[in-house]
Amino acid sequence: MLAFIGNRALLAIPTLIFISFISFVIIQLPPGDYVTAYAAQLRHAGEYISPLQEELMREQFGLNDPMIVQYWRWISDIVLRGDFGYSLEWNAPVSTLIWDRLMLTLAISSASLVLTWAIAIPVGVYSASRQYSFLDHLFTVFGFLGKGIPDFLLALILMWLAFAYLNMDVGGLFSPEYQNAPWSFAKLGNLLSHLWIPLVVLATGGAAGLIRVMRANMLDELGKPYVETAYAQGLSEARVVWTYPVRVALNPFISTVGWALPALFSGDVITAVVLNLPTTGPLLLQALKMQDMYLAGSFILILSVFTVVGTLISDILLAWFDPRIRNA
Amino acid sequence: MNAKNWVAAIALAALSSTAMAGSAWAFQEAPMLSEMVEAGSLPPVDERLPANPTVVEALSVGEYGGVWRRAYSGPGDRWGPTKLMEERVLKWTADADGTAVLTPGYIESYSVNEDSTEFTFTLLEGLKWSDGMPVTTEDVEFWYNDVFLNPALVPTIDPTFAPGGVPLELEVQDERTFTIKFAQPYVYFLQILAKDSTGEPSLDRPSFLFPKHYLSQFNDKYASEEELAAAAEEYNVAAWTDLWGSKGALTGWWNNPDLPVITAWKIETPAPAETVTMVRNPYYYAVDQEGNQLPYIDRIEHRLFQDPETLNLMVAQGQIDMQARYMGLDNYTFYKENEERGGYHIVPGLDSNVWSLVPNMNTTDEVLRGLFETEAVRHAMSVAVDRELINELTQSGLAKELQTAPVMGSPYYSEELSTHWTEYDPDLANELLDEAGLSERDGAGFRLRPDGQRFSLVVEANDAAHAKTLELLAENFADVGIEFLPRVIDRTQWDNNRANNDFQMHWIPFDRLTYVPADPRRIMGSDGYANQSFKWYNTDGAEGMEPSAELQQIYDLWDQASQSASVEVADGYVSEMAEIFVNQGWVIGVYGAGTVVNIVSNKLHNVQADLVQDDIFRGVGLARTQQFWIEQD
Amino acid sequence: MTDQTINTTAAPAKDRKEDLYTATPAQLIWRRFTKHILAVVSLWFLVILALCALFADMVAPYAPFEVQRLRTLAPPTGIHLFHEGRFVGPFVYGLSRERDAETARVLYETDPEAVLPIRLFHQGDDYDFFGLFQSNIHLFGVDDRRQQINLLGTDDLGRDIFSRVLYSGRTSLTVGFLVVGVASLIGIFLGLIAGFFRRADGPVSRLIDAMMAFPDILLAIALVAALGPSAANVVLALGIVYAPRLARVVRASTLVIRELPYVEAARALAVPTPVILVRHVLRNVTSPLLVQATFIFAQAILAEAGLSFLGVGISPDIPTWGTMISIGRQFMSTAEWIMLFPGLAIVITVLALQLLGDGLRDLLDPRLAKDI
Repeated sequence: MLAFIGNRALLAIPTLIFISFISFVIIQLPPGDYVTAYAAQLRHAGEYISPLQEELMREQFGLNDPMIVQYWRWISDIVLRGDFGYSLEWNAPVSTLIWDRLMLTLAISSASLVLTWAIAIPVGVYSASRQYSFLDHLFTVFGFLGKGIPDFLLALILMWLAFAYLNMDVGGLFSPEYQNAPWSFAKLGNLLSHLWIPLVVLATGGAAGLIRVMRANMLDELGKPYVETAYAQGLSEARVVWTYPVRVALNPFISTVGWALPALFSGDVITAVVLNLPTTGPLLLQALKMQDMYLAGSFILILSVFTVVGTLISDILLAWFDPRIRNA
Repeated sequence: MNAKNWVAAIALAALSSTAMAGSAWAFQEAPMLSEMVEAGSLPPVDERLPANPTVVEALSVGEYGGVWRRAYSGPGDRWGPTKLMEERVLKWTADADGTAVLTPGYIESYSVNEDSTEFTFTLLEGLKWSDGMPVTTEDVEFWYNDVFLNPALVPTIDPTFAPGGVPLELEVQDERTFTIKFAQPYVYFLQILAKDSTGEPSLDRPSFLFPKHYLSQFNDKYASEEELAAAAEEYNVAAWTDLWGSKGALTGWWNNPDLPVITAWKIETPAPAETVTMVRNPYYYAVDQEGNQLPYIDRIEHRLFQDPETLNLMVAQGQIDMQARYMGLDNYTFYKENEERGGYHIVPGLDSNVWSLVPNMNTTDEVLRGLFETEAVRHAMSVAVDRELINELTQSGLAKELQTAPVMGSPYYSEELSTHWTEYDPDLANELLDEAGLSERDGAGFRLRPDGQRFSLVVEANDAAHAKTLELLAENFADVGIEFLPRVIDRTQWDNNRANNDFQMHWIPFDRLTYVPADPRRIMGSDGYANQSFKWYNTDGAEGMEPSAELQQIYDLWDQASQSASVEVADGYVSEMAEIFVNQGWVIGVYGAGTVVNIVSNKLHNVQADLVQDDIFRGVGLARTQQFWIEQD
Repeated sequence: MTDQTINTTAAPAKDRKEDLYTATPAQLIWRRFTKHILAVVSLWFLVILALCALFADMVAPYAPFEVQRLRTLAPPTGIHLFHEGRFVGPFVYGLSRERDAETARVLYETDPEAVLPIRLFHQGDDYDFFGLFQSNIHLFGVDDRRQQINLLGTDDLGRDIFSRVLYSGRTSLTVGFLVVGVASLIGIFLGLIAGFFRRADGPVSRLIDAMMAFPDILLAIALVAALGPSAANVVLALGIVYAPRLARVVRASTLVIRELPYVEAARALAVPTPVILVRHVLRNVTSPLLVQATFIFAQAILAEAGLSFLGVGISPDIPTWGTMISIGRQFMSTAEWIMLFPGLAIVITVLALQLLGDGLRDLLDPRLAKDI
């Protein structure tokens, strides 16, 4: 087992290095750089910046150096000093920007993940054991709708319904009066009243797919002889279903846990943009559009690192859970 | 609609004073400040205000307190908040009729000599920075010697402050009075000052002032290299010069809560943040007509939004107290219909931008340039545009069909100029183009240029919100046989293309059409239809492309105007400039003078209606934000 | 003789089981397929959708870019059958338009006098069918210079939503299809290499797993932002995003097939590896590939809509469903139909594709075969 882990971990390192370079290159690909974007923004707002000033800014930001030099500067800062650089647009250190939003992003993503599983697993199991029943068909329909409706559309519709018919306050995390107020039950209630839309959107999207998979896996397992044996031995249905087949059916889920890690970090971009949530997703979107080099690059790097770590975790978990793989 | 000028002619009389005479007043202050005074952390209001504070006539005397809520779109959206509280020695403010007049700010008096070469200003007695330190001409000297003339901070001085190549000179008379001298007459200096202040590196742009007591430690004339390097390190910037500048870590008012300022509000929670807050400046120098220290409103909060629809939702939910920025005419119906729900009403303003198609007269494509230089072609392009259609479909019918010319209310306005070539007449356009020798068409029905290629125009815009308008224009042009290819590209590339003279035509809001002399560069082609020609003019022929004869005329006229001895003479030249510009039809205006939608909460008062919006007048600053007040319950 | 004639005339329903023994593989597959009603329905729906998209010029009564100044923000036109109590056949009423003085809202009133019958194969505006020929026959329309039949309403420029949905369908479906193509190319290539060459398996699998774990939309946005917004780049970016899924499927199958005797035989005969890969391995990979491709088609349509919605998709002047939703958002409270119908189109299409995929999977996966 240890050898397995060690092996995988070792493979991860060159992958990481490779990914970091790719992240940096991706950021540099579009023409122009941060200064041109900034000048354009100024002009859009009616202000004027002379080409000379632009050149000066370029010098200041070190944007004229060759790519390798810039890359090396960036990566050594990160690895040696934990300094992810400075966001040129927000005029703040990247780490602060990401950290500020990270808590909320993780909270929403984890909550929706847990919610998704809490919905998907029982429903999947139920659907499998009561195949073709009314509820099964209902869940099937729900599942398909969940997968078929684009998440941004669902978010928009829910938002509109809440705004137009339920007269609720939508957008953002808090209503303005609670924004800077100290924590209280009322504030918590307000938070939930804003969060239910993203949670519902994210959960339905995720649950739908998982339900199908769970159902299919369960159907597979329930058809096997050992289940019949268990029944024959007089075990109750609940015991039979939940103790053995579920464990096997969960295998693919376990392996996807690790993969969920990067998504936890970035959150759902589109929903967050539509609902004006201060999570990391919109930050990245903006960074990519504005070519905010350090922010975008750091972001992609962090995501990639989480991805690699996530796959590592998945592998380990799967090996631990399923002895067949461990000994392969 | 105002049919009169809203820029009053400046009477350059000898002396002009609006400070309060006599000090028989007892001044009042905001409750939040009285508390601090009682606690001992602030001196009493009489000591904080200048001896004779400037009086700002409030539309109605207001109550203290409240939070003014607005929205901003990111750290780059600095100008919205900035225009709320800019200070100048002379600032454009609106009088009771809505006319823009130059009103003294933090000066007691000013005077201009006979031939407009010397401008003398006297600061208010007892004027203080927001940390309590007095403002004196030492700060002015600091600005002049250690910042303005410091090549490390200001590598090139803007021609506006160095007319004829000679930078302005400063002469200090005493601790409150100083004189600015120019080598040649400069009749428009005050207007330019009211717009641009004293230029880079700016600092919420109060003219002539930088807080010496705070900033000298970060200036290379006072601090050693090690100290500067340490400061740069501490504030996380590459070099000490990055501490300065509009976006500088230290001098950017938006970034640094420790910076001493003289504006009505100062930053409390800087960007980037979910909510950026500004708090009142206890040492602000102005009072209302009853002696209440301004501003009335305690705080201003800016909430971050990513996406325009979110902003609309915020408006409908009553989360915006007063804002015009980002409120488009396209959503007029939505705003109007949610007035009750959101507890606000719309106060209309007048937009002075004219959205225009700007052909690049300096394009490197020779054949195309030849076509642009043919008057008949320009005429045809202008009359091919169905302005009414565009107005109806993209502006909810609330704008006007206009040519790019000084707008109504401007002293240079003329109805002829504004309606020059604006009649929709595709038949005439076809005729003109046929006569110009473009009668041959290709298989798809588009005309052929003299070199046999299809007459096609790539038009660039940098805001996807205008994609609709461009599609409509494409149809109009197709009707007369010109292929119009709209491209919405991102701002970076758009600007690159302009800098590299790599575009054929673009679509922009052509502004500064109110008081042209305050910034005539647009009419002179800068950043637009003749950028290369403007460069030629600016560098005296060293770079750029030689301008056409008519454009050169405009440049010559401006040279004369900026040196004229009197405003009347100068105005005459500027009028001529505008005439030539419009009659040549280099730029095709489509619509403008739309209603500016000011969303104003029902609890916020003193917002004057029908004011003109222009960058020259500093947007909402014209309405004198320090006298807005919010009902307290 | 007479006995036989009686027998033949009285021959009742054929014995289905008999047919099974003589059916060809294609017939077998089809028969199994038809057992899945939903899948069949989906298939038919998709076929009709594809045809409508292909012949959008004809099916749609108006051109998608046709701006109608006097018919902006019109609600869906109701189709009536009875006019003043009499049955007249399907028709629509004319609409008169005005703007509210206060709020500038566009208001429509039906004009009960103007009865406009709906004509089939109506002669409407000219169109050019992919440059092949010109025609002006539309599937349906009304005979009036100014009034229109807007089945799904109009948007803020007066363009008919129904027509735009069809034309956007063309774009969205094409993009989806191309994405599947690109993803297949890349995916098959990677999958074959990973599955066939033992030494390549490790690193390539890592790569595939890593790409799958990276959040889809973000990767797509990053790639499009890097390469620049154009249709080709969007297709390329999405193709790269979805390739790993196909690669995994191909790899799994290849791993199995590689061990089969006939492949070993081919290698022993010194058949060049590429030939083995193509002729033997690839042929047998097609079924799971097809299933996965259907799902990816659905995902691609959703992703493209998402990208267009965020403004980083194909250029905004080409209508796609995502763009229409993004435009319609602004009018959510004044004209919901602008946003709802493209959304509905996406949902139904994606649903159909997924049901089809499900059906195909049940069909082609022998383990799940039910009794015929």
